[in-house]
Amino acid sequence: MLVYLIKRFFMTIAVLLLVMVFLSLLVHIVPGDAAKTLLGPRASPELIQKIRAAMDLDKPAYVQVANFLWKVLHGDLGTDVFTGVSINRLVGSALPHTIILAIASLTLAVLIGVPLGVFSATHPDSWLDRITAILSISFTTIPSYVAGLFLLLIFAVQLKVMPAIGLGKEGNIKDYLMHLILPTVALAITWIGYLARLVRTSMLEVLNETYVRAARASGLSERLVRYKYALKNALIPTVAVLGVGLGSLMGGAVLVEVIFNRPGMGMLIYNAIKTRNYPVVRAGVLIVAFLFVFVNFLTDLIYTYLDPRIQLGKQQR
Amino acid sequence: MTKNIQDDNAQKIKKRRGQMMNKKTNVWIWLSLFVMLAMLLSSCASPSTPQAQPATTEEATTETSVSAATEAPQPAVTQEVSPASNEPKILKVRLPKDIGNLDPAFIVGSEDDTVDRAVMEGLIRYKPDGTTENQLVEWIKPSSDGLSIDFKLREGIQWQRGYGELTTEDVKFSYERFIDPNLNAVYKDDFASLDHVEIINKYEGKIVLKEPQATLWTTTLPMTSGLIVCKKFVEEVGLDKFKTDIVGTGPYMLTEWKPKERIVLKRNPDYWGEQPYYDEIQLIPIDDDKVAEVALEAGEVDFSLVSLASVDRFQSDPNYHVDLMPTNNYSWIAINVENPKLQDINVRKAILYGIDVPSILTATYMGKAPQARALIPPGNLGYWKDAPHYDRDVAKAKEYLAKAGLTSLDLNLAINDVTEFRTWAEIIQQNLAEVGININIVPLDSSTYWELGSGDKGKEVELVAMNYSAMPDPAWFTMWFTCDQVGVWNWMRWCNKRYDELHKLGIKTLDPAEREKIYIEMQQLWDADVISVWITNQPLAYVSKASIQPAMYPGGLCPMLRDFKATE
Repeated sequence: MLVYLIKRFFMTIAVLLLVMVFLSLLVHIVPGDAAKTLLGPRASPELIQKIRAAMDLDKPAYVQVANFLWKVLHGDLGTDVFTGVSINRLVGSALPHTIILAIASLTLAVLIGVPLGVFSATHPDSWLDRITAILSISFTTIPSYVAGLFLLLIFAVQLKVMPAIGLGKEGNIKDYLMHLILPTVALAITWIGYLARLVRTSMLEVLNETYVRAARASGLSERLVRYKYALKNALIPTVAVLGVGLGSLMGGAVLVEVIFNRPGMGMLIYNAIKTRNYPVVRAGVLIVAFLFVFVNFLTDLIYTYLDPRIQLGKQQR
Repeated sequence: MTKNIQDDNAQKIKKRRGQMMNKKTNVWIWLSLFVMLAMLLSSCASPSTPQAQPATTEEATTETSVSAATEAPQPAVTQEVSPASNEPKILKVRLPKDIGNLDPAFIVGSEDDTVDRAVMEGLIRYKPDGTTENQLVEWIKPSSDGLSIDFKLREGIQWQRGYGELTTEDVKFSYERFIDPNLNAVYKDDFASLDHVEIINKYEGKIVLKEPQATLWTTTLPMTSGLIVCKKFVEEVGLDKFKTDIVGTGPYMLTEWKPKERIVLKRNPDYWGEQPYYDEIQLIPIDDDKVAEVALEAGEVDFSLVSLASVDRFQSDPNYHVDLMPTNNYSWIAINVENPKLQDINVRKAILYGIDVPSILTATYMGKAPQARALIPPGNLGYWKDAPHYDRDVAKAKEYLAKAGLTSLDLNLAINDVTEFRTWAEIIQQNLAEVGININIVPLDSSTYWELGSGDKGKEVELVAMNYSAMPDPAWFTMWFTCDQVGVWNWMRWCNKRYDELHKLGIKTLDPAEREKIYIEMQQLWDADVISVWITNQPLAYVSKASIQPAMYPGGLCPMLRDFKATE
C-alpha cells in the first residue's frame, strides 16, 4: 500500500508537471499576442512589453514552467495582471463554490440514479422499467446547459419560485442553498440517467451470479440479497465511473456556472480564457487538474473498501 | 442440520453487516461533515474585498488645514435610509464583465468607467442630455490662444473616507501622472498636449498646454481621464491597490468588491452636491446577454444591456422600459487599396454597388440598426448629413467590374468569427456572386483577427469586416486612418496626405464650426477614394424596469449611475 501511495504521488507530480508544460506551450501555439489582446488597441508598445514580462511571456517556455513551478511550491499561484489581485485569493473564493456544486450534483445523481437503476433491474421488462429506461436515456442526452436554461426559464422566470443567478446573500445559508438547487439539478440530470442505466446493467449481471443464487438458497430474504449483496458488487463499476465523473462534473460546471452566473472555478477560467489572462488560466487549470487526479486517487482507495480482493500496489493473480 | 447452517450464516451475515454498516456510516458522516464545512466556508467565511481602511481623522489632518479636518466626513459605514421609506432604495445593475482596472489612466473597459464616474468626479462632466457642466470647479475658462485653461475649484469639497479636502495639488497630480514616462499611462494621448498644471493657490490653478487640443473639452476633461484622483490616497495605497479600490469626491463610495460576484456602491452621506436617488447600487457582472435577460425577467437585476434580438420582447412587456441608444460604434467592410486585386477604383466601386446593406441590417440586427453613410455618426460634431447613398445596383456593379477589365474575381473576406459578422459575410457572398465576385469567407478567432492588419502582413488583406467604436469627438473617429496608422489600425492601407493634415488641424482647432468643416472634408476624401462599404452604427439596447429612469453617457458608453432615478 505504501509503495502504491508513493508511486501515485510521483505520478500526480508528473501529471501536474505535464499540465503546466502544456499550458505554457499553449500560450505560444495560440496565434496572436496575448498582451496586446489583453490591453487593447490604445496600449503603448512599452506597456505591452511590461505586461508580457509580468506574464512571463517574454521568456522561453521552460523558464515559464520553472518560474511557475517555483511559485506554486511556495504556495503562490501568481497575480492577475488585470487587477493586481493575488490568484490565490481568486481561486480561494471560487473553488469552494465549484466543489459544492460538483458534490451536490453527484450526490443528487447518486440518490436518484442508483435507486432508479436498482428498481429497473429488479423489475425487468415491467412498464415501470420501460418508463425508467425512457427517462434515463432522455436525461443522458440532455446537455447541462440546455437543462440549465430550461430550469431557469421555468422556475425562475415563469414560476418565479427559484432564484435565477448568483450565490445568494452573503452569510445566508438558506439563500445559498436555494441558489444551489437549479444549478445542481442542471448538472446532475445527465448523470442521473447515466447512473440509472449503468446500475441497471451491473445489477442484472450480478443478480445472475452464483453467490446471489447461493444466498437465496440459504434462505436469505430477497430484500437482503438484492440490497445487501447484489447492490454492493453492482456498485463497484459505478464507483469507478463516479471517480472520473467528478472530474467531468467540474468541467460541466463551467457552462452551468456561466448560465447561472455563479462565480466558481469554471467562471474564473472561462473569463480568463476570454481575456487571455494566462496566469489565471494556468493557475485555474492546474487546480482543476490537481482535483481530478486527487479524486481518482480517492476512487482507487474506495475500491479497496468496496472489494477487499483488490489490493493496491500488488499484482492480481 | 440445515437449520443450524442457516442460523450460522445468518449470524455471520448480521455480524459482517454490522461491521459494514459502521464503516459506511463513518464514510457518510465524514462526507456530510466535509460538505457542510465547505458550504459554511463558502457562504460565511469569504470576506468582501478588504478596502483600504478609512484614514482616521488624525491621519486626514496631517496634510490639510484644521478646518478641513473638522469638516472631513467620518468613515461612512452605516446605511443611509431614504426619507420616504424605511427600506433602502437599492438598484441592481448588470455589468457586461467584472471591473478590470479602476485607475483612470489604465481603465480596461466600460465597467471601469461606470464605477469610476459614480465615485470620482472631474472638473467638468457630461450631463445625461449630452451637454457639459462644471462639476468640481466654480469656473473654468480657456485662454484665447488655447494654450492654457484657468480654473477655480469649489471650496470645501471633501474626499471620501476622511482623506481631507480636494485641492489643486490633487488636480496637478491627477493630470500630470498621465504624461509621466515612468507611469506610462495607457491613455497618455488624452493629455497629449499637456505641459504641466500650475498651482496658483489651494483652489486656483492653470492647465498649461504645449499646443491647443480640442479633444480636451470633449473626451478628456469631462470623461474618465479627466477624473480627479486623491493624491494622498494613491500615494498611501500604491498603484496595485488603486486598480480595484478608489476614493473620490462623488455621490457614491465603493464599499465592496467581490471578484466576479458583485461591486457595491453606497451613497456618500457627506457628498457636497445633490444626493443621488438610490441609497445603494449593486453592480453584478454577467458575461452573457441571454443570462442577463433571464436575470432581468426573474427580477434579479433592474437594468441591463440586452441583445437587439430581444428588444421586441421587452418592448411588448409593460413592466420594462427599453432604450435603444445610438452609439459611436461604426462598422464597415474595409477594402485594402494596396492589394493588387483592389488597386483599381472600378473594382472597389463594383463591390460598393454590389452589396445590399439593408439586407445585412435586417438579417443581422432585426432592422434595429441604422445604415451608416460615412465615418462620423449622427449626434457628433462633423456628422456629414449629405453623405451620398449607395443603393445596390447589380448592373452598375458589373459595369464597373468590366471597366476594370474583369468578368470575375476571387476575393477573401476576413471576419472576426462571431454570429454578427458571419451573417454579414454570408449575405455579401451571395450579393457579390451575382456581380461575378466570388467571396471566400475567412473566419478568424478574435486574437488572430486583431493581428490581421498589423505590419507588412496587412498588405495581404483583401476585404475585412470591421467594427470600431469612438469617444464623442470627431478626432477619435479619424485618428485611426492616417498614413502613420497603415499597418497598425488603418487596414485599408489608405494614405492621403490632405487627410492627415486635416486630422492635425482638427485637433488644434477650437471653433466647433471650423472643426465641422474639417471633418466633413475628411469624410469626402475617404468617400472619393471608395475604400469602404459602410454598414451601420450599431445601437445598444438597454432594458430597465419600468419604475426606473436610467441615464447614459453620450454614445451609450456606459450608464451614468449617479443620475438614475425613479420614474415619476
